[in-house]
Amino acid sequence: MMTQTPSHIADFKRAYETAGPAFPGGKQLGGMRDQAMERFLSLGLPVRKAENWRYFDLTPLRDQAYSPALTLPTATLAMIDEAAVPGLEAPRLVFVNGRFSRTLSDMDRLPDTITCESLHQRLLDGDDTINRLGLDLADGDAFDQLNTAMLAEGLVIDVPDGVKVDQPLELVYLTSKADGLASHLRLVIRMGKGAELRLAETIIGDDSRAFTNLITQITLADDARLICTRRQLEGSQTVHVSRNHVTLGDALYELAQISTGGKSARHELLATFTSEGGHVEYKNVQLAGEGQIHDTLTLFDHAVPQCTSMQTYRGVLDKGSKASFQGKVLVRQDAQKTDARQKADSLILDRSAEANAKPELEIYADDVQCAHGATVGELSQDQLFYLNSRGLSPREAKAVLVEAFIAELCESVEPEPVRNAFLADARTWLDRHPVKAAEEVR
Amino acid sequence: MSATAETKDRVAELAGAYKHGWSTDIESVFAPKGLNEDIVRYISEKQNEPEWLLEWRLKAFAMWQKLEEPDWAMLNYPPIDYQDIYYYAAPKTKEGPNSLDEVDPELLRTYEKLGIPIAEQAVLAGVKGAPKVAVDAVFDSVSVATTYREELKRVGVVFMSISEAVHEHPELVKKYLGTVVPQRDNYFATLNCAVFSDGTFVYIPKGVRCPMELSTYFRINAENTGQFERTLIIADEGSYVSYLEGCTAPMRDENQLHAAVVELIALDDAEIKYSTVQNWYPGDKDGKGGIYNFVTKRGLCRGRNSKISWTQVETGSAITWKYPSCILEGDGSVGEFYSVAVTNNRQQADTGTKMIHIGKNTRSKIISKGISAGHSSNTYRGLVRVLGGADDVRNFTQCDSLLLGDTCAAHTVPYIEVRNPTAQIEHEATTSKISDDQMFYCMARGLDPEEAVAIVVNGYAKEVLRELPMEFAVEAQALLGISLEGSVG
Repeated sequence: MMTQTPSHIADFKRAYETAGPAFPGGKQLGGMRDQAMERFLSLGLPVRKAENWRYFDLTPLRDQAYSPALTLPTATLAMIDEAAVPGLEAPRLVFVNGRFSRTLSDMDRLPDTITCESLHQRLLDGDDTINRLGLDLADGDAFDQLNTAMLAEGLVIDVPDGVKVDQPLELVYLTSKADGLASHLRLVIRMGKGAELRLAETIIGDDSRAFTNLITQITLADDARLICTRRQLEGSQTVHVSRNHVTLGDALYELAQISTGGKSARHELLATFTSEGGHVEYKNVQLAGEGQIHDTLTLFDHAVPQCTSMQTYRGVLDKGSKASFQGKVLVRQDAQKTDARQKADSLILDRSAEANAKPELEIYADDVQCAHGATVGELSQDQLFYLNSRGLSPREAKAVLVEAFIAELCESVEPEPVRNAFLADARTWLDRHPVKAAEEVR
Repeated sequence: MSATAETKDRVAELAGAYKHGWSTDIESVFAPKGLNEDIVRYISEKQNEPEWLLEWRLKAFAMWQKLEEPDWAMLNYPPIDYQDIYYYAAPKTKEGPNSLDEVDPELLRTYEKLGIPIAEQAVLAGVKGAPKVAVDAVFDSVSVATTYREELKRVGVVFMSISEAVHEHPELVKKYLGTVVPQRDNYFATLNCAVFSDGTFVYIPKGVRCPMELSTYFRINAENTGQFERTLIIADEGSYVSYLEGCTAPMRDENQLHAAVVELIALDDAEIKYSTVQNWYPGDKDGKGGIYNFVTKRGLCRGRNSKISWTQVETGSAITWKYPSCILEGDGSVGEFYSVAVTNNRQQADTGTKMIHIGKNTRSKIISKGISAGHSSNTYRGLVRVLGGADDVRNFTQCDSLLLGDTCAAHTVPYIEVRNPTAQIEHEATTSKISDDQMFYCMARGLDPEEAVAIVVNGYAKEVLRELPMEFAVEAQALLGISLEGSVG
């Protein structure tokens, strides 16, 4: 029986058929992409009924066709400077409209103790080792498959055993004048034993109707440390789906994120612990305004004993927005002495907003400490009154309180320039929000 | 309430086996096995139902055939063969059970074994000055006796089996049946709509405070039967009722299906307190046999300042799938959910609540205590939803899990969905085990490990147990101890 392929699926297929022949890499890779495309076509985009997608909205992906950039786009250094973290002393790696830009990147400033090359270049070089990177996400969902099918661009970073990189690396992803653009990016970061690295990512765009599909695969060997920060400042019409697959031994992985961008924007952190002593720390600040839908999804798989994890989520929702947190901690039978914590707090600024939280625990071991907390509420009238009585306008008072609400997460962000960028991003958002209520307009 | 010496004695006395694991030899009338339109007609005819109800059942049956069994719960069980079940089994009695004299004495002995003094003494043994309890006993599928009807009648309370109510108060049944749990609500509820055989109907008139606790005992006796009872409670303006429900079933190797629907409706200023002690046969320690309990319970706070409170102690059933919920429609209405769910051996429970806030100033409170032992699995699944028009909503949720042993599982799946900024929602959950310190302390004072666990668990569940009417609280404490037998040492 033939069923009609939905037009948006046909659009993705067409995009694949058009762009595919130009993708670098050998026959084997081509086979992998074809298979992934097949799987994508049979899976289709997730529907609302799918538990993990119940709060998200993929309508923009169904309404329009998105295809990868075939030519190398151009951007000026000034644009990158503006996007990057001010004052951060770090070699930059730059993507423009889903393509790695060698000219805008500081390839010559990269520490020579690590290997860092664009995936595109690695594929062009016909590098055999590429097959060992685990790029094929055969068991993944539609976005994993689509990303694999369109696999052509990204980064491969290897930090060898014992190498501690002092200086952070900065990654900038810029989307500019790119209606209908799809950026399917794949980052592979492998941390050797005792390796240390800091990454500062900024994802930024104009109001193009674009689609970012960013998958990061991270492995950490014992005693490795990877500290990441991410500013998600996509344009207001962009669909942003990013996913971090993290596998760690007795190591530390940290991710602090602030998100203000995207029309439908979603971040997933899927972490698997593989040996005792691992720790994952996830901090996420979501600021959502008119028409935005923000989703956060986590799955922490405590498969082995003695691992710890901490998730902290703060959502601020202005008029007409929706922000959701779906966090899951899975403690398997052998994972005794697990300590897993989740905290999700949402602040609603307007009655047309919707906040959702689903902090989930699935526990098969008894000697564990697992706790989660979730709150939803508005700004305290008492606090607003207090600030008003000290001469702040209602709007200023709100801004002060919102800033305080998220500052707790931002303030522990390192290094300092990134922390300042987080706070600046929050202030930029606060300049536009909360949208003025009628009684405030004099 | 602490575990008194008396309670301990009871625990000891009851220890050893599932207390209610005997079956009664009573002649039963069965409908043929399986389910089709004819069975639905047969059930309807047996109850001598009016045409509109038959139509209603057939409509539900048609819907049910198109529905799919839900699979989202964290439950694992072999597929149920819905054609291998008796959908109607009634103890054979003479003309309608109007008074106790007409009831089969064997049946009365069954209830005595259950510890329900169904005859004259409503005061339960050992509890002095306890209020009277009116009992409606549902045996397999049919209501066999309702006590104290006369006394209730004087104050205008209607308390009878739903099959009688269809005839005596058709306007009320017609008006409210299926208004809280719509026919299409879910697979099991729809099935119930098609084949429900009996259940309880309660109507509390305006301004009446029901003078006694109302109580129903459900018991599945016959082999291969399903029990599909239906309860409908309406509390009219300003009234109050406390309703108790107890469930047991004899030991059987086969799994038995129980798919009940309970609908509560509270009008302005009315309050319904609904307490359940669920002690269906949980299967043996290898997971053989036991009841599959798929129950839809929902209360509608339709009036202003109305209140519905669910309290449940779930210790039985092989499978529990149950989410007693409150729809808080009236401004200022209150919903409460207190739950203790114990699973041991191979039991699986997926239970919790939904609080849907529609009206302004509505409040809800959820206290859930899960205890898992053996190879069991215990899931709390809850939803707190605040709609846009619901200003100044308050919710507090606490769901704790206690794990006894490293082969059991405890899950927490809370959903919080808020569309109004004035809402204040708080949710807390913890997972832990009984600490060695607590065990050591109790054992140093001469308790054996099992008694120590029983005491700690009773303390852990105290917040919920104290919500139960006193008669039930004692039983519930004893049950907790029994259910956890063999989980330590």
